[in-house]
Amino acid sequence: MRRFDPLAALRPLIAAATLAVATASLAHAADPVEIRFAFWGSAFEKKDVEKAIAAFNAAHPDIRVVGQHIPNQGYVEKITTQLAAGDPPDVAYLDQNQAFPWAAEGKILDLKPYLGDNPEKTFLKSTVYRAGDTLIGTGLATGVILAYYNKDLFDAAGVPYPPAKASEAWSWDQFVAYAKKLTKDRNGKTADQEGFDPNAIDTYGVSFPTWWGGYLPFVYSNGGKFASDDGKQLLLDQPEAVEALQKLQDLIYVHHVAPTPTQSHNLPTADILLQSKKVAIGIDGMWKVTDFANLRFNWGVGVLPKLKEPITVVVSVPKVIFAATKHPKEAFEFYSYISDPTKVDLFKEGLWAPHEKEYFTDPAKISAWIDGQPGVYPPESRDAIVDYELNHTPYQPPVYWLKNINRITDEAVTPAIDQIWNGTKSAKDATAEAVKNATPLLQGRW
Amino acid sequence: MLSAEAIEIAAAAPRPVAPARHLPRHRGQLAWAALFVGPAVFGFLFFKLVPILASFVIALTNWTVANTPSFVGSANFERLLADRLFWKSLGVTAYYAAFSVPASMAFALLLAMLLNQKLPGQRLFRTIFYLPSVMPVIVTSVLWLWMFNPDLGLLNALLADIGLPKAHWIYSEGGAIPSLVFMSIWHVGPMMIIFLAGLQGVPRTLYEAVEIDGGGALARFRHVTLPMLTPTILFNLVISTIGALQTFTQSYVMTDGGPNNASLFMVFYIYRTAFKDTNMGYASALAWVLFVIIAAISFLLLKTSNRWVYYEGGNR
Repeated sequence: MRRFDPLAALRPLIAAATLAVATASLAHAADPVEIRFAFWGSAFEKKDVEKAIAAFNAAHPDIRVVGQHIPNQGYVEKITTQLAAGDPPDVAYLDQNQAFPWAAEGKILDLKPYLGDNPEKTFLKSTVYRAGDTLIGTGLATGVILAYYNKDLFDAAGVPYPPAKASEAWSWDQFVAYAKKLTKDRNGKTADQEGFDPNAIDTYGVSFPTWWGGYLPFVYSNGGKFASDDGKQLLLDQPEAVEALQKLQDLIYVHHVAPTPTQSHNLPTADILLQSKKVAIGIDGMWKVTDFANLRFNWGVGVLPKLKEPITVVVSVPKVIFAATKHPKEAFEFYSYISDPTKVDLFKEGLWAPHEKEYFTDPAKISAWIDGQPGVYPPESRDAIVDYELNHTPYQPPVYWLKNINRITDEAVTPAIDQIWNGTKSAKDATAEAVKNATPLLQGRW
Repeated sequence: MLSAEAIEIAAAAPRPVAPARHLPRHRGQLAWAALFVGPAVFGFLFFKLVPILASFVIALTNWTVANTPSFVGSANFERLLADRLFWKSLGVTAYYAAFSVPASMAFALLLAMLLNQKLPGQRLFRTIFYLPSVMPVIVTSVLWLWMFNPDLGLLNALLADIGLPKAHWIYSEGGAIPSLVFMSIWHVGPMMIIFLAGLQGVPRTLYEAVEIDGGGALARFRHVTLPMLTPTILFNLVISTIGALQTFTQSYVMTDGGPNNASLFMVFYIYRTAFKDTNMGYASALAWVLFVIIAAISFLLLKTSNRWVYYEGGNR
């Protein structure tokens, strides 16, 4: 056997490494400024974002953006690790749970010098994130919670389509009556007929998500609040909020028109449930338009039923520039580019709604977004999406401003909401427990 | 869950100790040995031991990744004593381990005994029962998520066919852990293989002796199979207890710790504290408590094992 000399084996490697380092430092002198951009999303999103990055790089020879796609599951872990290692990306999507505390610790670049003191003039207020004095920035895009429906099921049941104009939103009683007509058991009996079997339901009238997007619109619509404006008190136990949550629970256990909400990741989402005629009305986010458009069945969008006022919520996610960036000017250049509806196809493809106000008021801009790709947004979108998002979203969900929202949600609110959805506790008892558990966790507002 | 490593150890364990081999005579051989062992030793030192020690130091700080950490003494451990969710997660983990370990061991032993019979298609059955264990837990979790779905799932469809009402499985507070225990039986493949190896090591002569004495199948099991299998049972018990106490994927993929924290496993709570709440100090303190608990349970199991484990070559 030949004698083994570990050093001999390593020698070529060392040579190669030295060469690589030398080449890299030589090349660096002529290189454009490099910006690392971390983002998440499906394969479809990745493709469009990468296309936008390539177009940006082609138009900006002095900047080279390197996209780093990280799958949703594992995203926070990876960004956290990068920050811990002192090597965060320059630009990134970042969950609220991290964005606010990290901004408070000075890890996120204050965008006031770039966006001005009053970005609310240009942007919808539910896409502007501030942690105290620091302007974290805007969201990557926006989307409202609305009602999707399968027209064939409505036609067969002889029920009018959910209205697209907020001013014509169904009252709760109307909504429940229609949902009953749309809910069918295996023998074809509907929920408002004698002999209906709630244990063998084939088509449900309505489904809604388990998270706050599924219940906050109704709490707000009924005049309720999640927490007091000073962030010192959870208000889900107040009569208006309790009534709204109780009405949602009753959809499942009293009227039998909604399936038990389940943790829906990995399970069929509204688009599939509607297409397969398991559900007639699917309450979900505007970002599902792209999935519905791809399925090409007979669907439409409408506004949510109201309790008192027609209200929905805007959902967004912060997009940040890390304070550690060496090139803030170039990073901001890209920061603006990647949320520009004229540059990124995801808007006209039905995944993102813009966050500049002018896209909701200027007919030419609305058309560029909504009609940009024919066959994606249904015609009623101008009411059910554009007007609904601009004029019927008066309240910012707590993720925009409540401190310690992550623990308040995980330790107090979600367990209580679980019990409401599972029917183990009434809305009154469950929310009372939530308030009790949340009280020590409330720390005011950002 | 049993790892490939664990199987190797098990396969090696019941064999008689080989006579001590001579050390490699050639110096070159020693270098080769060092090269091959090196990555494992290096990996353990730098990717396991160093992080383990570091996590103990972190547990004494208020590190949240974004801040500059400062030492807070035992504050994290004091917080833990008063933390409702820590006790909840401890209870959930114990509940799951207490049922999933015996259930999956009994099922694995039963399967191993069935597959130890001389049957036509024996190899085929062995493969079939091992197959689920080839899949990663994350895949089986998604699969079971569908089966457990109250409205569209297979299990409720079966219940409906025999006229029983719907169950809510993992989506109800009372049903979450029993459902996950039920699911854990799906993963007994590696344990089954180890039992099978143990069964094949039982000398035929002992069975013949029982038969001559007029003992039936039950006597054979009670007086030969069981005592001869005790070393294998001990091994499976220790490994699967550790595995059960470290359950994570099921709550991560299937239940998100819910409903109402009914499946808040300790490792999931640690994960949530570390990566959603980014409180590394507290998460490390939780991890150390779990580490001490697992070490103590393993120690107790091994310490008391000489009372019930029988080794053919005399007690060790």
